[in-house]
Formats: sequence, C-alpha cells, structure tokens
Amino acid sequence: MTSSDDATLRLLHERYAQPLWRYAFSLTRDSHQAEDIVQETLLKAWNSPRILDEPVEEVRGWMFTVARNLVIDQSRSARSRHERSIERLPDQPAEDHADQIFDEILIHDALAALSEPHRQVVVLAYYGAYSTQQIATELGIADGTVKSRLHYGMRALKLALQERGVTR
Amino acid sequence: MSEHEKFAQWDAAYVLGALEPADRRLFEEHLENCERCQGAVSELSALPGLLSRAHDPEEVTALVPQPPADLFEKTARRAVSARRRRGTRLVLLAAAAVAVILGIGLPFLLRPAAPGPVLALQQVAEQSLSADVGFESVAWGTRLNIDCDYPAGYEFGDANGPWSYALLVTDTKGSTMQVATWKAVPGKKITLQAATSLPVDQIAEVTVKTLAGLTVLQSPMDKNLLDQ
Repeated sequence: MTSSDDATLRLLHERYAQPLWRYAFSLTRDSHQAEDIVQETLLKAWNSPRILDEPVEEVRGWMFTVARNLVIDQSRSARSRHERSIERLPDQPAEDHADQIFDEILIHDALAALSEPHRQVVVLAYYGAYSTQQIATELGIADGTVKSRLHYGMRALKLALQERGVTR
Repeated sequence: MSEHEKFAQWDAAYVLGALEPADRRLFEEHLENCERCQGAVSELSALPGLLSRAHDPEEVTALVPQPPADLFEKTARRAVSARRRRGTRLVLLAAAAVAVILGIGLPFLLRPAAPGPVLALQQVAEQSLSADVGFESVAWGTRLNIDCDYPAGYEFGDANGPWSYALLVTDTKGSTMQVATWKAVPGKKITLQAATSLPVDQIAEVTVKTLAGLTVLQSPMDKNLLDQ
C-alpha cells in the first residue's frame, strides 16, 4: 500500500467509520458483523477513484447504502442457511429498520452539528420535555435566553436537516 | 418594544411545546393577529415530527458500544491483501499488453504460476493475528507462502511462553491435514513456507489453529483467485 493510499484510507476512516459503525451496529446488534460491514464498506469506498473529492454528505449516503445492502445480503444468506432448521427467525428482517435507523443517524448528526448552547436547549426541550422555565433553572440562565437560543437553534437545526437531505 | 418584538423569538419554544401555560396563552393570542409569527411557526412546524423519528441521542449513545480500538488497523490489513490481489492481476494485464506488442504468445506468459493467488484469511476468534496465504503451483503440488502479522501491543502467549499455531489445509473431498506449525512472534510480521502434495485447485479451505485447538483464522478457497 502506498503512503497516499494509506492516507486516503485513514481519512475515510476518520470521516465515516463512526457513523457507519453506529448504523451497522444498530442494524445487526452484533459487534462482529458490524465490524465486518464497516471494513468492507470503507474498502469499497477506498477502491473508488476520487472518492475524497465528492461532497461528504453524498459519500455518506452512498456508504450507508452499501452498508445496508451488505447487512441485507448477510441476513438473507443467514436465513437461507437456517430455513430448513428454523421455520421462522425471531428477528425482523434488516430491511424494515434500515430506513428508520438511517434517519435517526442523520438527525443525530444534524443535532451534533449545532453549537453546544443550541443543541443543549433543543435536546432538553424536545427529548427531555422541559419547559423554558425548567431549562432556565437547570442551566442557570434567563428564560428569555432559553427562548432566544431555541429560536436560533431550531433554525440552525432545520438548515442542518436540509443539508443532510432529511427535509427540504 | 412593539408587541411583535416581545414575541419574535417565542416561535421555537411554542412549536416544541416548551412554553409555560401562561406564556403559551399569551403567544397564541398574539399569533392570531401576527402574520410574521404565523410564518415563523409554520417554518418550524415539521421539525418536531422529524425529531420524533430519532431517539434521544444521549440514550442511543449509551446503547451502542464503541467500535473496536483496532478497527482502522484491521481495515488497513484487509486493504493491503486486497490490493496485493489486484496488483497481481494488473501486473499480468500489463505483461500481456507488452507481450501483444512484442508479438509474444500469451500462453508462454501465463504459464509460470508463481507467485500465484493470495488468500487473506478471515478472523474467526477474538485474536489480533492476521495472515495471508499465497498458493504457488509446483510440480510436486502446492507451495504455501504464509505471511503472519502479530501487531505490537497485543499478547500472543501466556505464562508458558508464546502460543504455537498450526496451518491446516482441507481438500475438496473433506479431509484435513496439518502442513505447518510455528510460534508467535509478538510485534513482528513473519513469513514461513509450507507444502502439500495437493494441487491448488483441490484445496477447499485453509485454517489456522492454536495448538491448544482454538480456530483463529479460516477461509474457504476463493474460486475467483484460481481463475486469475
């Protein structure tokens, strides 16, 4: 492997291994399988010329598709290996969850792209079901500041979701 | 402060249901007559539905384990053996092109089998050892060139010293024979050779076990490699 090959692989790993891992693990619930899928997806990307020139969002979408297909292939071949001995597998097929998990990862990624003060108030208000007063007490800031951070934070979130193709 | 200015930043808190009941009533009263706030609210109205498609990020982080620390190293090792396979094919293609230009017959070029296909063995057990096996067809059977990588920072042994390993070859009829044994050399890449009387196209599977009997690496023969 030449040093530029090595650098490309390292960069791909830095940019995409974490979200790919979360995606693959959420789909398979199996560390070994997830690891194999992440490796194979990264290698496919590494073998594609000029992959690093493409926009990060597009490459990520492409990689998630590759990873998802690998998961589906594996679950199909596992099913065909088992179909004689087990009538019905207890697990849902991977296909059912893939879109949902894909969305979830993009939404989490969009939240993570917000500034910390914005992310904090949005997460507390939505997932914590806190009121502005409760957030103000929790963080030791004025109620007006909470409303203002939510106002800008939610607009930043909308933009981040649009950039990731979750909404238009 | 105009009435609108007072409420201009309440839109998101309202959409998220985060306004205190008294604030919510005030905002709704204002909203009835303020087109700007109506527009601001409708801009954000899709977001709670989208957020509902994801769990609380902090909860999810707690559920998904961290990827293995050596994920990059393992990927890089797979990359090396993938490229090596492709490299062999490219060299052969290039040589074939030159041969055509020089008017040399292709069968002549294709006949020498060395170095032959290389198989990157798949990890079966939780061990950091990786190995590639090259198959070289010779008159008496197949020479196996084994590259083993014992990455630094891992134990490949115990109080009794370094572990010993064996390479086993299974033929297409299902019988297995041991063709080599060796000791681990932590932190080093080692190369060793083994031999079998089997022709390469009768090798069905290659396995590395510890002498204690644990299967560490195993791969079926890749038929595509033989066609190269």
